[in-house]
Amino acid sequence: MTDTDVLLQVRGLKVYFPIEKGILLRRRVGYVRAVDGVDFEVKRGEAFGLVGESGCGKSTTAMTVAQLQPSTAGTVTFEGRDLASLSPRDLRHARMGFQVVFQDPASSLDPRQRAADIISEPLRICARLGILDVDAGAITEKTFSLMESCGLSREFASRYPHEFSGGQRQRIGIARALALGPRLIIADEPVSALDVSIQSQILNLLKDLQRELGLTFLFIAHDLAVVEYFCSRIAVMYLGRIVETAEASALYQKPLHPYTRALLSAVPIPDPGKERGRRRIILRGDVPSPSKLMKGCPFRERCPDAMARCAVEAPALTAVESGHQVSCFLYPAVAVAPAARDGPA
Amino acid sequence: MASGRFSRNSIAMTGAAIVALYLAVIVVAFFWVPFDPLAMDAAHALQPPSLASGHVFGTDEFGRDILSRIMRGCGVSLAISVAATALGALVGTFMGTWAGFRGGRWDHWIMRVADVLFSFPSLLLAIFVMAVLGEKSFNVVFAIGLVYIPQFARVSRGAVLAIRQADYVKAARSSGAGSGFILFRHLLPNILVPLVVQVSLSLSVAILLESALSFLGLGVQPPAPSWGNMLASARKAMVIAPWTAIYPGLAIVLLVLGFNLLGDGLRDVLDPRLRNVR
Amino acid sequence: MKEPGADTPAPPHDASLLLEVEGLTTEFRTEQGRVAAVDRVSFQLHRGETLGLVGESGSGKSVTNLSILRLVPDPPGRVVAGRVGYRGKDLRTAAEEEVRVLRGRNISMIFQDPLTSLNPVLRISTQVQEALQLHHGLGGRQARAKAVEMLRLVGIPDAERRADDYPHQFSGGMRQRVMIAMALSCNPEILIADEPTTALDVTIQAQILELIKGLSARSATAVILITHDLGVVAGMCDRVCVMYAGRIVESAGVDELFSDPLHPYTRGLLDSIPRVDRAGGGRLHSIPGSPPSLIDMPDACPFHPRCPSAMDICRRAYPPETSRRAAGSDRARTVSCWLHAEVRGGPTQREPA
Repeated sequence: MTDTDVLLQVRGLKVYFPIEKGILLRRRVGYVRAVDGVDFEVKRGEAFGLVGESGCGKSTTAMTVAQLQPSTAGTVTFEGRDLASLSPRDLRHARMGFQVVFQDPASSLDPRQRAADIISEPLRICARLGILDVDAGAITEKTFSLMESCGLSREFASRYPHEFSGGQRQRIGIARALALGPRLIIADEPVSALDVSIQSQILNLLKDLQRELGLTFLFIAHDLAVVEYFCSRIAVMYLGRIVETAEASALYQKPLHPYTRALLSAVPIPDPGKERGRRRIILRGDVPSPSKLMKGCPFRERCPDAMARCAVEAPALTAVESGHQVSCFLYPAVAVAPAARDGPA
Repeated sequence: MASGRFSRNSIAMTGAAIVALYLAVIVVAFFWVPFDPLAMDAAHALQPPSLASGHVFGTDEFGRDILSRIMRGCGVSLAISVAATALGALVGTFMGTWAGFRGGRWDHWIMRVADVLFSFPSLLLAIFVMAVLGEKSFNVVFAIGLVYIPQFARVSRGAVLAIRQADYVKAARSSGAGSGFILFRHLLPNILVPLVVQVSLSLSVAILLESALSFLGLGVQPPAPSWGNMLASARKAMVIAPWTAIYPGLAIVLLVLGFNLLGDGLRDVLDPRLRNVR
Repeated sequence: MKEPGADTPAPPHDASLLLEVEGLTTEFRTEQGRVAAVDRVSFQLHRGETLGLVGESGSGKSVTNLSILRLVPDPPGRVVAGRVGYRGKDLRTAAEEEVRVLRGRNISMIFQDPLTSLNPVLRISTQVQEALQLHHGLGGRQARAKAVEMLRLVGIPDAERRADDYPHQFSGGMRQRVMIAMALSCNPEILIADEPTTALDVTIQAQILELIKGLSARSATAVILITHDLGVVAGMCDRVCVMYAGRIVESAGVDELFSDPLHPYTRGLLDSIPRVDRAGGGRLHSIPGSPPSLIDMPDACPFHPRCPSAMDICRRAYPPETSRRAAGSDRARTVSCWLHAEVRGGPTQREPA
C-alpha cells in the first residue's frame, strides 16, 4: 500500500472541551474528552465508516477533520498535507478537496436562500476569494448539472427550503457538497433524519455518485445496518476512542471487541424468526460521562469480560489480523505481515 | 407572502391601524391644531369638554386647549420614543451580535455589562441618567435608549447563538467563507424577525417611560406639551376637572395598546411561518 | 421464510378482546385545508398481546393513539368519527370524566422524548407517586414505598436513594425507565408506547425493549407499540398494523407480515431497509417519490403515485379492506389494496399468493 493510496490520515487526534465554572471570573474545572486519541486512515476510493452511539465522539471527529472544529492535539493529513500547518489561504484552497454533507435537512439549508443559491454558494465564495475563476454563466450551468445528478429537476431552482421534502433537502445538501469537485466527502449522519423509505433513495444516490465521480467517503452514522451497507471499512468508537477497525464483512461476521459484539447483538433485525432465537448481550448501566478521568480501559465498567488488568492499563489499538485492529486485552497482538500497520498509543 | 398573512391577522391589523392613526395625527398637527397649544386663557380655565366652545377635550388649568396639546405632544412623545428605541436597538444589537458571534470572553463580559444594566428597574435607571445629564428633552432619548440596550443585546445574542450552530453556517465555512461573509449573508437576515418584534414591543414601553419621566418633571419641560407633563399638572385639578387627566392618559394607553397589538401580531405572522417548514 | 427450529408463537394468552377501534377518524383544520391525520382506522387489541403500529412520519400512528385517549389538542384537531370500544364503553363519545379516570390507571402511555415527558422541577419519587395517589388514593408513605419498588422493578440501581433525584440527574435511558415505572405503577391493562426507544442509543434500546417485554409478560399487559423501526417490530410484536397516510394499509400476525407481505408499501419497506445480517454492497431497493401531503386527500389509494403495481382503478377509488384467513392462525389478516381485492366473491378461500 503506497502512500498515494491514502487520502486522509488522522493521527493522535484529541479534542477536549474545557468545562468552566464561575460567575464573574471563570475557572477551568475539567475537560470533556470528546475525542481522546484517534488514529485511522482512509484510502482513495473507499467508503470508511465511523460508527458508535451518542457521545462517542464520531461527529466531533468528523467536524475536526473538516476543519470546522479546532483540535486539541494530533494531526489531520489530507492528500499528504498537514491541514493545521497550512496558511489560511492554502487552507481555503485545500478545502475544495473535502466537503461535508450534514445530518439535518432542516437546519443545513439557509431558510432565506433559494435552492440554486444554496447549491452555488461554494462556487461564489471561492470566486470572490479568487480561488476559482468562473463567471456567472458557468456557475448557473454547473448548478443545473449538479441538481440533475442529484435527482432534482431544474424547476426547483428558485424554491425555498421549506417548500421541499426532507429527502429533497438532503439532495440539495449533497449537490452543494459536490459543487467544488471534492475528492473526499465527509458525511455526518446523512440519512439519520430521513424517513425509512427515503433513506434507501439517498443511500443509492450516494453510492451512484461514489462510482461516477470516484469519491472517497468518511461516513459517520449510528445505524450499524446503514454503515454495513455503505462502507467497506469501519471503525467503532466508544468514549472518544476507536475500539475496533476492520473490513465491513469481517466486523459483522467476526466482531472481536466486547463492545462491538454488544452493539451488533443489540441491533434489531427485521425477521421475527431470527429475533426470537437471538441471545442478546445486554450491557449493564449507562455510558459514563466523557468528563470523568478514567484509568484503564474506558469500557471496563460495562464490559462482560473485564479482567483485573483492564482497570489499571488502557489497551492500545493493535492489529490482530491483517486489516483488523482491536484495542482490548483479550486479544494479544499477533505478529502480522508488514503490510498491516500498528496504531500508536 | 408575509404581507398576505399580515392582512389576515386581525391583531396585527388593529395594532397597525392604531399606530397609523397616531401618525396621521402627527402629520396633521404639524400644519394645524384647533388652538395654539401654548396660548393661555385664564378666563376659560378648566372648562369641561364641549363642542360648542370648540374645546373638544376641554381646557387645562391655564385655559390651554387639551386636544391641541395632545396633538402636539404626540409628535414629541413619539419622536423621543422612536429615537430612544432606535438607539437601544442599534447599540444593543451590535453588542449582542458581537457577543454571540465571538463567544468566549467577549460574550462573557459584554453580557455581564448587559446584566448590570438589566438589573436596574428601567425607570430608576432613566431617572439616574437624567439626573446626571440634565433635564433636556434630548437627554431623555439617551436615558430610555440605555434602558433598552440590554434587551436588544439579549434578543440578538440568543438569535445569533441559535443560528451560529446551524449546519448551513458550517457549510459556508467549509467552502472557505470568512466571518464577515457569514455575518452579513447568513446571520443578519435570519435574526431580523425576532428583532422586528422586539422593536415593536419596545416602542410601547418607551412611550410609557417617556411619559413617566415627563410626569416626574425630568423629561419634556413645560410649557412645551407632553402627555407626561400634562398628567403632572393635571394632578391638582383632577378632582374637579377629570378631563385634564383622562384625555392625556387615554392617549398614552391607546398608543401603547397599538404598539403591543402590532408586536404580538407581528410575532404570530412572522414566527409560525418559519416553523411551518415541512 | 421461517428459520428451521424457530418456535411458532403461542396464540395470545386468552382470546378476550380488550380494545376495539373501528373507523377512527381524526381531522385537523389547518390554514391550507382539512387534514385527515387518522382516516377510518380499525384494529383490535387482545389481552396480553403486543400490537405494532408501524409507519413513517405523517402516517398517523402517533395521532391514532392520542385519539384513543382523547388527548388530541382541540383545536386544531378533532376526533370526528369512529368507535373506541373498551370495557363496553365507547371512549370517543363517553364523558370526559370517565375517560380521565381510565388514563393512567387502565390505559397508560409512554412517549418518545423522556426529556420533556418528566417535569424538571419535581423529584422522580414525586412524579411516580402522583399516579398512585391519584388513582389508588395511597397515602404518602405507602405511595413512596410502592414508587421505590417500581423503580427497582424497572432496573434503576440504588432505587431508594435515587428516587429523590431530579430528572436531569438521570440519563436518557434511565428517564425512559422512570416513564415505564410511572406507566405501569397502576397495573394498567393496556400500555401505549409511542416510539419509546427512538431517541435512545441502540444498546440502551435493547435494554428498554427487554424491560417492556418482560414487564408486560409478567402482568399480561397488552401493549400498543408505535414505531417506524421494522426490526423492533419483529422482535417485540405479535401482530402488526402498517399505516400510510393516515390509514391502515395492512395488518397481520408478525410472522405472516414479514414472510408474506401483501401490500406493495409493506413489501417496498421490507426490501429497502439495510440489514446487519445481510452482506452489504449492491443497490438497495427503494420506493420512489415521497409520502403524500395529507391536505384534502382525494378518494384514491394514497400510495398509488409510488406503487410499482399501480392500476387505473387505484387512481380513482380507495381500495376496500380485504380479509383473509391465513393457514394456522385463528385471526384474519387484512389488506387494503386493489391487487388483493376480492373480485370473485364466494366463500372459497384463496391460497396465499
